[in-house]
Amino acid sequence: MVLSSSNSFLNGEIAKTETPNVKKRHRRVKSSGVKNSEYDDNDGYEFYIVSLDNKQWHFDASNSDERDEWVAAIEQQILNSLQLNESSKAKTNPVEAATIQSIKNRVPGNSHCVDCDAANPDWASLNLGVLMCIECSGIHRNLGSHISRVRSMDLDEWPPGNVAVMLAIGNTLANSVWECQTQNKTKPGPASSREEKERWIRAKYENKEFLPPLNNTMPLGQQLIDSVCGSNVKAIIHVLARTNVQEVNTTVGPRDLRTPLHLACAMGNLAIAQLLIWHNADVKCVDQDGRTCLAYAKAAASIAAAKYQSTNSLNADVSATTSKSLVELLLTYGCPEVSSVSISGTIPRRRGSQNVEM
Amino acid sequence: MGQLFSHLFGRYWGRRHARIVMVGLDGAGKTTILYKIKLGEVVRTIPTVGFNVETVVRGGTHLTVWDVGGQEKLRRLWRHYFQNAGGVVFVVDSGDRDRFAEAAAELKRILFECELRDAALLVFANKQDAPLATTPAEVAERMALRDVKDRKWHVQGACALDGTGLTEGFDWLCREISGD
Repeated sequence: MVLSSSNSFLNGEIAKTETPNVKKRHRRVKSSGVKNSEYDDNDGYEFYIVSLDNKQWHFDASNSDERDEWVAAIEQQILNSLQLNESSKAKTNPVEAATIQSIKNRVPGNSHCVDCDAANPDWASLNLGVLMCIECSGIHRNLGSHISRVRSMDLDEWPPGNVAVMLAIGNTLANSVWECQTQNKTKPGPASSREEKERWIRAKYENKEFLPPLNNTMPLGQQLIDSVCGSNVKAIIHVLARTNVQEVNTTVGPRDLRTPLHLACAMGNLAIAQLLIWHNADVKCVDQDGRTCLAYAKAAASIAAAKYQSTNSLNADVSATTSKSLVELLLTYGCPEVSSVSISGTIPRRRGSQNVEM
Repeated sequence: MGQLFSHLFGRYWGRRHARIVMVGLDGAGKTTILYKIKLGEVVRTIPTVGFNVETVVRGGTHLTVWDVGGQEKLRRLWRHYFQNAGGVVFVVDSGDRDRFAEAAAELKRILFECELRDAALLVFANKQDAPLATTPAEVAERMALRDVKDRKWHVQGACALDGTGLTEGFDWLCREISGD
């Protein structure tokens, strides 16, 4: 075994490089290791390292266990070097890293791809609130951003609104809606062909073939208002999968002009507000008194802040932070601070709505 | 005469190769564009973690096109590909209005890079087939292209899936680079 000198070479050489080649090569090293341990067990326990400039080093171990240990140790070392390299270039936020981990590990169903069950998915669909493997993410991107907004768990930034949705939904909850009745169609597995996966994904999200039956007793807009008031995420997913722009912006009643987004903001619910915005909720809408969503969110934020000051509890801290993030979110989407409708302008508006009733 | 000769020489020999860097937000369609113009077919892509590079020949000019991944943490690696780039292609998803501000900010950032100071700018307003897609003129406005005064730029409506606009865009870039 002559690895020690080469091992240090590996550290120096690979850590120095800055281009994305590193990752490709890293993958090659990994795959070569895996390949050997799977197929070449009788070939004298060899493994090899491929460097960035395509040089190869062959190694012989005395038995398969020793070889696997070396491969694992080298891979760990490469990973460490890469991480060291990354962190020296860019600040990695420890809070963000912990959040990403909890989306991956704590949210039910997120250990496997939402569409093909491949293990450890690290790509996400923001508006669907699910995790998927890279291949399925390629298919999701073909659907268009109006159906699925794909992001990388590791290569993209995660603002609080995106995180809140991912924590609120997850693969199990999403599939309880999107795969409610699969009509005996077979779900693809990790080894299925890309064509099979694409057929499934298009049937599921584009044609919406597997959604639960529709509740016809109440207009969809009203169902949305009810489910937002009850913070019923599963019902919200189902209704949003079927609503159009008008329905998303339904008002509570002819005189109560609050929309579902107003209600979510009043409750300081970041996840639901973000979902509604992605589903074309109008961030500039005003209620019967000319109040914007931002006004409601600010009121919720100040209540949450006051609660936190008086109780100092962890829960109150979380909801204070969340509702503050909601205020910031609305500002980035251009929600006006106060209504552009002047005070005098609201009076005929009210009369108008009364006329409707008379 | 000497000037004419050097112009011809430059035109037929000196500038037949050009390095093009293609960037833009993740999921804008860069890889699909690259392989549609290279192979004439729609390949099944996955997100680009790293880069793709292909040589495309347009009207006698060999363009080496670098397609670099657009995820947020990969964007800071774009500049490594800028050196000696004769042209930069910036791809925008015309159907994703929510991300126009983000795209415009990234475009603005790369135009400040001094390695790109001589590069012509081609903006593909891609995915013109998307529902409620934004027109190329509006994409130009949202990307604040009118403020770009230090270089030639062109916005081209495109649909990488059927190839609409791709040859027009790359031909414009070739003309700008070869100075015709």
